[in-house]
Amino acid sequence: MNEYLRRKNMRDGLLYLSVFVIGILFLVAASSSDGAEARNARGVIALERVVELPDDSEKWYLSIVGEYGEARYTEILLWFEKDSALNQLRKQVHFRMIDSDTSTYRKRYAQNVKGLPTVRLQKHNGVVVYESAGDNLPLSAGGLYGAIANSASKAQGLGIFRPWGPRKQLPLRAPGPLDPLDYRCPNRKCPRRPVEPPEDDPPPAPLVPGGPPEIAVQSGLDMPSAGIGAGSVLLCLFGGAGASLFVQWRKMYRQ
Amino acid sequence: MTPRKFQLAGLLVFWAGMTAILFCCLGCGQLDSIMPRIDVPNIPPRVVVSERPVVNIPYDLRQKNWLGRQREGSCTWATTISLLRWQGRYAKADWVRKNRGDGEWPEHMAKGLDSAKIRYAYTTDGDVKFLEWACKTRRGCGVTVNGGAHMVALVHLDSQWAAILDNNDINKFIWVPRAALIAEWKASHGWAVAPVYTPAPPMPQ
Repeated sequence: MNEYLRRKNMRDGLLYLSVFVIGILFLVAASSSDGAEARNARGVIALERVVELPDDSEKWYLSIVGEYGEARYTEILLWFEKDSALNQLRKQVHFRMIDSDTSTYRKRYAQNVKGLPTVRLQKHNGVVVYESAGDNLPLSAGGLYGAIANSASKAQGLGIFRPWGPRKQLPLRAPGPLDPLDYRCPNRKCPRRPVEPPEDDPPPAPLVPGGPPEIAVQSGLDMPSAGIGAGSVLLCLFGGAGASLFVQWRKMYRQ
Repeated sequence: MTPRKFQLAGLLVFWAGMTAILFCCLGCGQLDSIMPRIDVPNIPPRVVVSERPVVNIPYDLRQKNWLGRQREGSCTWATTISLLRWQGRYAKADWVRKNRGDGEWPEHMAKGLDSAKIRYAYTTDGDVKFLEWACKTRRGCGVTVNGGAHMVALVHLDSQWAAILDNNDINKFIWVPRAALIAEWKASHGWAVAPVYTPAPPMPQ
């Protein structure tokens, strides 16, 4: 009897254990298949997919147009990377570099730019807010930002009256070519050397929703003009005081 | 000059100097707060002629359809290439032309765009807001037509009209009523896909 019960218990135990193991296996299989089906339903893991569509339809457009590899064009592009104000502006607009050897330039810019390089700021509907080309471009990054800022302020209807106009920032160094070999060419105009086009596109701009850019108009005193102003003040003071003293002295001693 | 006049002249010079001190101390920027503000007169906004279509892809940037390695049409990739070139991604567009082709479906194309590191957005549920976003932001998108057998580029969508660029005939834009285009698209599985980069600026006004 005991032997029978022992065998019966073992048999039952084995039965329960096998049912338990089979249940676990089924559970594992079901989880795996659910995961596979979910992945197939969703497709691959979206690494580049944009889910939140950026509402940037009202952003302004900033075009830098020029000949790829040309010194002045390259210098202006570097300003938009190195200068903090221009770089900040770049992040708030649709920024495009337009090389003159592209169809986009030939079809959309060649007939309406006044020279190369060109810097053009447009509203979202195409209205030109600022445009400057060739020798009319400011000499420094600060000058370019100031010119753009003034134009943008007027375009946004800020209308502040400034009888003396915007302050011009003096260039920190004389503008020069980026390529020292150009010094050997007469009038710094060297024959164009063929430049290989870039192998890859520039890094894409981050997707940031927004509208018109917020541009801070620069203001402040320049040290040289402050010195001249202080000198004029002192001259006026001493001149006026001296003239009054002279008149009083003459009155006193004439009498 | 009489002494009295000389004295008056001296006083005038003195007050001019004091005024110059005031200018230098306050700074030009600060004077805005005390100078009289003259507002720009209220000029009515100018009439702006919008470009039509808004995604006005130049002819040289349009990609024709081609047969892929499996001898299938490559309309989805041809549409994507045209839109990539419009958004200034020339090198990427050339890479796609060399390395992609044949027919596609949404999940497989998403995988292809991920592996090519192309930033994109898409919908498969016929959401018209996606089409409106693509045209409002001037990026454009590919839309399925002909029961899902073909994809074309949607380059304009307003309250009345839609314009498409068919990669089987890149010589012209095809204008259709908005409702007709949307009905055709929804009947063709409602799949739309768009690269998401910076569109070309509008023509100057």
